[in-house]
Order: sequence, then C-alpha cells, then structure tokens
Amino acid sequence: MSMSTVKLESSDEKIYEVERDIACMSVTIKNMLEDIGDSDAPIPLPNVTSTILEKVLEYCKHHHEHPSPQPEDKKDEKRLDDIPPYDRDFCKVDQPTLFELILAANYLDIKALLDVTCKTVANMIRGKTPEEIRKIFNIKNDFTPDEEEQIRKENEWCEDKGN
Amino acid sequence: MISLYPLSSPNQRQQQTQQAQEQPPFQIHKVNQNKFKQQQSQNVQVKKKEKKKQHVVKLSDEQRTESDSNKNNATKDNTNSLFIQLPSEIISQIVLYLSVPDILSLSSTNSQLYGFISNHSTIWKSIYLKFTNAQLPRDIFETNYTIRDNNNDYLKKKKNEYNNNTNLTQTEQYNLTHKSNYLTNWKSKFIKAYDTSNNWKNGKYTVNSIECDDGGIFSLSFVSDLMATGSYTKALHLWRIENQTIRSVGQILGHSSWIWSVNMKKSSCFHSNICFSSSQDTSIMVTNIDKDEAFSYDQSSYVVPLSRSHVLKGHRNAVWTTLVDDSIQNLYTGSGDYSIKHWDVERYTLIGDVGRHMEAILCLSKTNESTMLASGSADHTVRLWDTRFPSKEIASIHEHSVSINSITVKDWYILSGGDDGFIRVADIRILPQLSYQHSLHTNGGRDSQRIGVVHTSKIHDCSIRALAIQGNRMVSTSSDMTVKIWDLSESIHKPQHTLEGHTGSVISMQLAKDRIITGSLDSTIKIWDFSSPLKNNNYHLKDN
Repeated sequence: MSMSTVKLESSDEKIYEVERDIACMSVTIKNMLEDIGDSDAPIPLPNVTSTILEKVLEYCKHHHEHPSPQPEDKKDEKRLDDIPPYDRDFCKVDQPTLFELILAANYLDIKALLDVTCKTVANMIRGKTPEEIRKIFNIKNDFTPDEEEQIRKENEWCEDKGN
Repeated sequence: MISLYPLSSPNQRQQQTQQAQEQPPFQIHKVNQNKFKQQQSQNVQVKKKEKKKQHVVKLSDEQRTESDSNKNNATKDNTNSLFIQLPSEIISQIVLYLSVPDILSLSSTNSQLYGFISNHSTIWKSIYLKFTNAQLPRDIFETNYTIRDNNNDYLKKKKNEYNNNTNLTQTEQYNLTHKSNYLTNWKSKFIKAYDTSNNWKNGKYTVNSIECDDGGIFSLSFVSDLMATGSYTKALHLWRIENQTIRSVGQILGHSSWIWSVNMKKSSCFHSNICFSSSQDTSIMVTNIDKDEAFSYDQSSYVVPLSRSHVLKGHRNAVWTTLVDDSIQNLYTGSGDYSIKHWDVERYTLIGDVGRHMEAILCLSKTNESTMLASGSADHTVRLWDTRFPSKEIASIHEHSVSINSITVKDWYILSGGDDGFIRVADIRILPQLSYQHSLHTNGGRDSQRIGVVHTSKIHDCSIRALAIQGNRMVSTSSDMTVKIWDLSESIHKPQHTLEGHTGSVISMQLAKDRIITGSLDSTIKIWDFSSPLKNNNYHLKDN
C-alpha cells in the first residue's frame, strides 16, 4: 500500500487529505506517521481547528512547491526584516488567527512557520511604548503607580544610550 | 503536546495549571472542549473505529468563511490577552527577536511579563553574548581592493566565527563550565556590560594615578586583580588592583638589568598565575605566583621565592618583547640579537628560532586561531612567520620607514604603529597564497611575499608605543603623552576620546573590558576605569 497522501483530522472533525511530503513538514505528524506505520486512518490533531489547519497546510504547500534555498550559514537568524514576501503576506491576518498559527506551528513543530509568526509578533512590538503594547495585545496593566515608577527608574540605564 | 500554561514564575505555575485545565486559553476550542480534554488525556492515538468519516475535504477556499465566523464568536468573550497566554518558550523566542529597549517596554506592561522576562536567564545570557561578541566590520578600512578567497583554514575559521555571533571567548567558556547558569545573573552581567559600553562611548571614566619609585614603567601586565610591572629597577613589581586603584604587594627578583617586557597569565592551577618577563640582561624569566600567598603579606613585603622562577637563556642581546599564547605552552621572544625564539613553557626549553630581522625585534603579535606570528622591528619592517616551521617567512610589509614599536593582529588585519606616529594596516586576505606548505623546501623559506598596506594614518604626534584591540575598540599610547581610544566600527580617522594626564611617554598599556592601565616614563601608573558604578544593582523589583 503506497501512501502518497495522508489524512489529517482537525479538532472540529474535518478531515483533510494531503500529500505525505507536505504533511511531513510538520515534525509532529512525521513522527506520528512513523509510529503508526501504514494506516488509512486519519491522524487526529486535537489542538488545531480546521480554519487554522487549512492555513497551515496552505503554508506548507507553498513552501513545498517553492522550496526556499536554505543558506548554510544562518548568520543573522535574529533579524526581523528578512521575512520573505510570501510569508509576510501570509502573516497578515487578524491577531487571534496569528496566535493560533503560532500555537499550531509549535504543536505541529513546523520551525519555519513558527519563526515567521514569532517574528511577525516581534515586529508588532518593535519601537512601541508599554502603553501601546498593552493596547495591541490587550494586556492588563496590573502595576500600581508606585510599581510603575519603580520599573521606569529601574530601566533608566537603557535610556541614556546613544543608539 | 502543546503547553497550555500561561507564563509565570514556577510557584505560580502550580495554581495556573489548574486554571488552565478548567479553561484552556484556546478559546476557540470551547465548542469541542469535552472532546479536547478526552483526547488530551489519551495521548496521541489513532482511533480507527469510533470515527465515521464525516467529510473528506481537499484543501479548498470554500471552508474558510464558515469557520471564520466560528472563530469570531469565540474571540468575543476572550477577555485575557492572547499574547500572555502563549507558552513561555514561544514568548522567549519572540523576545529574542527584540532589541533591548523593546524588551524592556514589553516587560513594563504587566507583572507577569515583568517577572518572566526579568528572571529569564537564557534571554539575558543570549543578549549578553550577542552584545559582548561584536566583531570588526568587514570593510572598516574602506577597502577598495580585491580579497582573494583562497582556501585557507585560518580565513575559513575566521569567517565562520564572523558568521556566528554568539561565539564564546575562552574565558566565557571557562566561566560557563565552572559556574552554573543559575548562579550567573545574566541580566546584571548584561546591564554592567551595557553601562560600561556607554561609558566608553561617552568618555565617562575615573582616573587614578599611582606614583612609583621605580622610574619609568617599561612594561605592565595584569590578570584580574594581580599586576606586574617592569622598569629601570631589576625587580619586577607586583601590585594588587583594588577597584579603581592599586596597592603594592611585593616583587620578583632575579633579573640583573632593566625589564623590558612582562606578561602575566592565569595558570591552569587554581589561584596561580605565571609571569613571563624579559630583560636587558638577555634572559627570560618564568615565575609562578601564588596569588593568595602574595596577597596575604603586609604592605609590599612579599618576595616571590627564587625557586618559583625559571630562567631561559639563549638570546645574545636584550630581549625586548615576549608573547605567550593562551594555552600557556608556547612563548615567543624578540631580541636585540635580531632573532625571534620559540620556547616550550612546560619544559622551559628552547624549541628554535622562528625568524630573523635585520635589526632588533621590538614587538610581536599573534592570534590564538592561527600559527601566524607577526613581528615588528627596528629594521622598519613587519614580517609574518609560520610558527610551525623554523624561519618560514610568509610575508613582509615594507611601507614603514621607521622603527615599529607596536603591533597587533586582529581577525585578518595587522595593525602596526611606527616611530613616526603613523599606524599602518595590512590585510592578509589580499595575500594571493597563504598555503603554508607549498614552499617548505624551497629557497630556505625566503620566498616570502611583500604585502602592501590598505590603510595609513597618522594617529599620534610622536612614536606609537603600544596598541591593543578588543572587539571594536582600539587603544593606542604614544610618546606624545596621550592615550587615544578608537571605535573601529565608526572611524579610524578620528579618535573617539583622547586621554591626557601623563607627563611622559606612555610606553606600556593593557586594555581590559572596563579599563585601561597605562605605564609611563613619568614614573606613574594610571588606571582609566570605565566600569559602571553599582547604581543599577537593585533591579529585583519583587519576589514572586
């Protein structure tokens, strides 16, 4: 029985049939397939909804068809401005979707997708004041004014820099 | 399995674990919550029979609208921040993409994030290493020459290092293996490094001047808090560095004339240092110093027992310069007898001659990654040698027309300072062939190539006496009585700061991460301290 496709089942019980190679871009799925051997049964992905799974598969499919040359010397791994155009557009989604993509990429262990989504979130934080960051991510300010003042003082070391 | 726990300190985690089980942060799963839980507990298992295939869907766009509306409902009652609910390893990954000010802004938003980021050792360690391992930019000297990419191991190695910006220096590796990560406060380490770096940038320092009875300080060298100086007197002077000043501890006897060069190294034995010194009397001395013993004596009264010193004899004239590699196995010396000698430090024996000049050899430099040794001489030339072979000259630089007093090799650059106040920079990448083997048996090793310099500038009014580079920072001292600090990532044309205060030639100097110590013919030692005061040490806001 040749297995050129595998079936994946989302948390809301939708089943997707995808090429094995594409599915195996997820290390988690790859490991599962190795564990269960040849089987026709769909692989349950209880942490991923169909909406997100579709997005993830779309991403994997694109990168499967357009393999980006992976440079050997990953010199500036931590650079933010090196997101390829497709990935940048791919991450132009509403915030809940973006965070779910992160969680899905983490769960499915798809490093490229995790990197690019995390970079997107980092870009949202870049150059913002704490108040702006709170607004963007709906973070509750649970500091007392005293504590806030204390933190501001504590972070003063960073302000007199010439960068 | 995905981590559902919001970030938190370890003792908060317990309690939040329970919450998380009752109410997964993945709000969107609410609909399937029961099923979700069930599957979670059963681990990953393929359930063959239970499930009827409801619909096999190929990837298509049609599905999207339906499930999108689904999600919108779910997010409405989401009062908490999705960001905070991310697993901690993901938050730390995001944080590592940010600059330090951005990280601080993020940590100031909320107590949970504050506690998480402030106490996250890995984050600060990574920031610290990135910050302290800056390398020289590739094109610092406005290179408009071609760099030949020859298959040279040294260059390859340097290139890899260049690309890997979290390389550890040897001392850091040492610290890492000898100290648990948990004991190192990487955040405070980083803040200190950061403050110190700003002090360098802004020229904020304290200076302390110590008058010596020794006369001119020809040479000085220190490791952490132990320093040795060489001068007109025949004794090496030992000092203890205490914060921003130094205290006389004692001396090392043995030389019978002026001491031109001193090199302090940390020994592999605990609390022990090795001091290498060379003298007008043609000898070299290797002395083991027990630091605890030295520091336990009263004011300046310690004398290192003579049995701890080994005398190396072989040069026929004054020994002007010494160089010890980091392994402390190889010692190279340059002398007024025109020869460069290579010594085995463990056996205290002469290995052989590395090379010769036409005049006295005044300075030596070598990087630890390479077998290439650079020498500067009173014959106005700089020569590059392969230390593995006797008298194997690789290349020479002939563009100085004066004595070369100071030389330093950094990455692929060779910087040499002349008696005329000019610094000249050569780039070994322009050597057409750096293969050490090819000419082993030809011409007695005298088929060396001349290399031109890629940069020349006058950086001092008088003779350049000492040069040192650390990261992007270069320090030069001169007979014009000044000490100059250069930021090589900015400009080689203008010093970042000029330190004045000495009233004689500044002829010895050592550069450390947070200070410069200089020795002058005016009989003073000055400590220029750029370390930050301890004002920022109280950054632990609260204990969770």
